[in-house]
Amino acid sequence: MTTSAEWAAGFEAVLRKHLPRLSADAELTGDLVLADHGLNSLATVNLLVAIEDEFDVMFPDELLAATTFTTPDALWTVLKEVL
Amino acid sequence: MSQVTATRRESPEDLASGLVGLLRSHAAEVDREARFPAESVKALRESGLWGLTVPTEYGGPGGSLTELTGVAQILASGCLSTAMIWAMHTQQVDSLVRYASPSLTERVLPRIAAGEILLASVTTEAASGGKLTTAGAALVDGEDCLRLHRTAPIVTGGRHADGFLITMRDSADAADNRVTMVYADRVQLECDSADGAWDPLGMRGTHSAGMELRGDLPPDQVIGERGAFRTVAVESQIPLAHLAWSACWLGAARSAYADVIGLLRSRKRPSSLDPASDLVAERLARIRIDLELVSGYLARVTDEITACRAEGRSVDNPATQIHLNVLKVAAAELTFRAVDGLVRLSGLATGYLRTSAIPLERHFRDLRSASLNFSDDRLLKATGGLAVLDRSVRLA
Repeated sequence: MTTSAEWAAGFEAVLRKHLPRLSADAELTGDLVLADHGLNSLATVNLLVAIEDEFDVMFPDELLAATTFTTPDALWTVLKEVL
Repeated sequence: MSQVTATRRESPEDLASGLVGLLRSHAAEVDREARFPAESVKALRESGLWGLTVPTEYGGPGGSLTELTGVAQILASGCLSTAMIWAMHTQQVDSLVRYASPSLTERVLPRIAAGEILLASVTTEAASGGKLTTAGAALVDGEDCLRLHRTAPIVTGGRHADGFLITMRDSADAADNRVTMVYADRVQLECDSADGAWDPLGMRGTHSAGMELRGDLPPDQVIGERGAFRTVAVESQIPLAHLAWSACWLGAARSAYADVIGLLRSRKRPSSLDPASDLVAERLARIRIDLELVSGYLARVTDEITACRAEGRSVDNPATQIHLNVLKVAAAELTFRAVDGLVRLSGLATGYLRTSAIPLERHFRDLRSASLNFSDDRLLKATGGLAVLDRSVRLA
C-alpha cells in the first residue's frame, strides 16, 4: 500500500481542499473513502482540474474511470502514470 | 495486389487520424492566404483514402458510408477546407461507382484509387441559381462523340481538378430538366478558369473559381441514363453530399469543443472558463447536446441510406428525403450554434482573436457557410412540401 510519504508535495493539500467533511487535524490516509468526506461528483471535476493544475498534467480519458477518485491511493496511482 | 491484401490494413479511420496533424499544421495558413491546401490534398491522395469507396476489384478499399462519415469527421478536425474538398470529391466518386458505364469504370476507378484524379463537380450555371436538376448549356451529338461547351460560375477546387462531373441539358431541343451528367478528364477539355478573386468569409481553402470548359467526349462517359441526371442526384449526389458535409461540420465543431475542454483543463484557462462555475457547466452541457444530436442523427441517417442501398431500394421516398434534408439543415444549424456557444464561453481573447491558441474564430467563419452551402431555405421549403406527403410521419 502506498503511504502518504510517497505522495508528491502538494498532493495532500490539493486533496484536502476538496474534502469539506475531513477536519484539518484528521489524518488523510491512503485508503480514505473520498466520497465519505465530501467528494461528490461535481467536486470531483474541480479536484481533477486542481490536480491537473498543480502538477501541470492532463489525464487521458482512459484513466478517468469512476474508480480513479475513490481513495487517495487510487488517485495517486493514476497520477503517477502521467507525472 | 495480393501483397496488399495479405498484409493487415489500417482502418480508414486510423489512416485519417494519421493525417490530422499535417492538415492542422497547414490549416491556419491556408485560411489566411485563401489558397488551395495543396500539401494536405497531396497527402490525402497518397494515403489510401482518396478512393475510399472505390470497390476492391478496382483497387480501392471498398469503404462503407459509415467509414466515409467517420473519415470526414476526423479530417475536419484538422482542416475543414481539406475535409470538404475530400468530401466533395468522394461524393463524385460515388456517382461514378454507381452510374458510370463498365468501360469508363475500368478506365477511371483504378486511377482514383491510386490518388491520380481529383474530381470536381460542375452542376451550377449562372442561370440555374444553384438548382441542381436543370441545365441550360446543351450537349451536341457529334460523330462518335458528345460535344460540350459550358461555363460554370463556381467550381470548388476547379483549378486543381483532374476530372469533372458536368451536368448538361441533354440536347439543344430538350427541356431544361432533361439533364445528362458526363465525366470529362482534364486532358479531354480546354479549360479556362476565370481570374476572379477568391476572398470569402470562411472555408477559404476550398478555392473556387469560375470556369469555361469545352471538349469532345466519348459517348461512354455519360453517367447514368441520358436525360436522367435526376436519378444520379437523388440516389447518389444528394445523399452523399448531406452525409459527408454534415460529418465534416460535426468534425470541426467537435474538435473546437475538444480544444476548449483541453484549455479548461490546463493552467492557461481564461477566467471565463472557470470549471467550478455552474454557468460554464450549463453552457458546456448545452453545446455537448448539440454535438450529440448531430452525431446520433448522422449515424441514424447513414444507416438508413446504407440499408436502402444494401436492399436495392431507392431513397426517393418522402420520409427518407426528409431525413436527408433534416440532417443537412440540423447539422448546419447546430454545429454553427455549437461553435458560437464556444466563442461565448471562451470570451473575447480566446474566442474571437485570430491569434488565439484555439482557432475558434476560423471555425466560426467556416461553419457560417454550412447553412448557405446548398441553401437551407431551399431545403426547408422542399422538406415542408414532402412532410405533407408523409401523413404517417415516419421519423428517422
